[in-house]
Amino acid sequence: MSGISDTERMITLKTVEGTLFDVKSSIAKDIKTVQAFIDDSDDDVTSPIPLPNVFTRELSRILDYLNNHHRFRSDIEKADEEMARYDAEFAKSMSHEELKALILAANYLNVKDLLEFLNQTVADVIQNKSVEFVRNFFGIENDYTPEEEEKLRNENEWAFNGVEQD
Amino acid sequence: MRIITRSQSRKKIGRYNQNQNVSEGDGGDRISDLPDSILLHIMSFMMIHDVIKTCILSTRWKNLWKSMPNIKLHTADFRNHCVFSEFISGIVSCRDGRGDGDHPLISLDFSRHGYLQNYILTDLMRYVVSKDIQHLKIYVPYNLGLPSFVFSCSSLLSLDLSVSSYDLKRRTRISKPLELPSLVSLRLESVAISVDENCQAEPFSKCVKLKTLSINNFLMISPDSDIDSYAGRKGWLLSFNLPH
Repeated sequence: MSGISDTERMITLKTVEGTLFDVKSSIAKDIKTVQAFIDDSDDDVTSPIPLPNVFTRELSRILDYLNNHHRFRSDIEKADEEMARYDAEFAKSMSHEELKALILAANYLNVKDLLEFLNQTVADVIQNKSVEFVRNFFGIENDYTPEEEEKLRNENEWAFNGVEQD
Repeated sequence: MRIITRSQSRKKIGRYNQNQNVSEGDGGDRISDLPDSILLHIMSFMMIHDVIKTCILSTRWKNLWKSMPNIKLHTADFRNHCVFSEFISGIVSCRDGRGDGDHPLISLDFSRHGYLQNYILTDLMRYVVSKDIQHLKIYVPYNLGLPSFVFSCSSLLSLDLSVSSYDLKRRTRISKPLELPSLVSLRLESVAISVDENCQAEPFSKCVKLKTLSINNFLMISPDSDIDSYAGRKGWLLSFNLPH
């Protein structure tokens, strides 16, 4: 199925800004939205595939991630160790804003492993944090009245009690 | 063509905004651009008490956690073990009823170290079975009275059950064929299987879709047996036929 000619076939992706990226078809397989586009096309896709929701910065990060993971997987002995180190660096290198933008892009492009990893990263960041921190992180406007909030806290006392606050 | 245009302005995504303070004149609440499915996915990696506390973030989040399709309840996540039982009751009553709509439940991953009152587990099991749960994993280091209706839950695709290997007399027992017609994967650790006078049993004969079966450290108990005399048979291999 994936002969040499197949792995060498290149797909061109076009971001919102119009930047073009050449991607190996083996990498494109992990980008399910792109793969679906290819599968739905009757002929070979030769012209750039437009990604109207994806910006250059996010796409370049996503391709970086996928390329590296493909490389790690080709060397089975070191794969897990190197992948873990790379992932940790990758997570650390992002601001909260970049992390959220990347989640949106990965979700739109349907890159399962990356989305899993990014969502896990968010969970790690907000774990055990105060309500205020989480609101800040997500940029949530608190639209409860103080009375409503108090009521909700009381109703869910069992969740707020017995757990150490940070 | 699968590519869908979402009505997200570039500004709202805010990717070039280096400012960490997010709600400045652009509508704020950027994460609200994420679909509920993503927020629920994020919650699936969080410990349960943090998940429930998200109800207080804003009105959008009030009932969101209740739709979480995969629930993980591990005592190890609780600093105070006493509240664990209260938690379980709270989750069941919160998700069940109150006119909050239907919340599908796909999987439960339950792990408990230490004692748990039987009725709490029974309530939890009654709840998950009523939600047509598909994947059930229960790890407890003691023999639990798993209500028998769990063994006739027709929606169950996988069951992973690990109980105590010590108290032989009170061992969790499979006393008749499992009525689990959808079950694909089954893992049993340290359970007892009731056998007849001829030492035979067909516990899986009705699991017609079973593909993967793993039984570890089981014990056979015949109806009239003194359990001690059978203890030596621990770990015998059962001979059985999978329907497929």
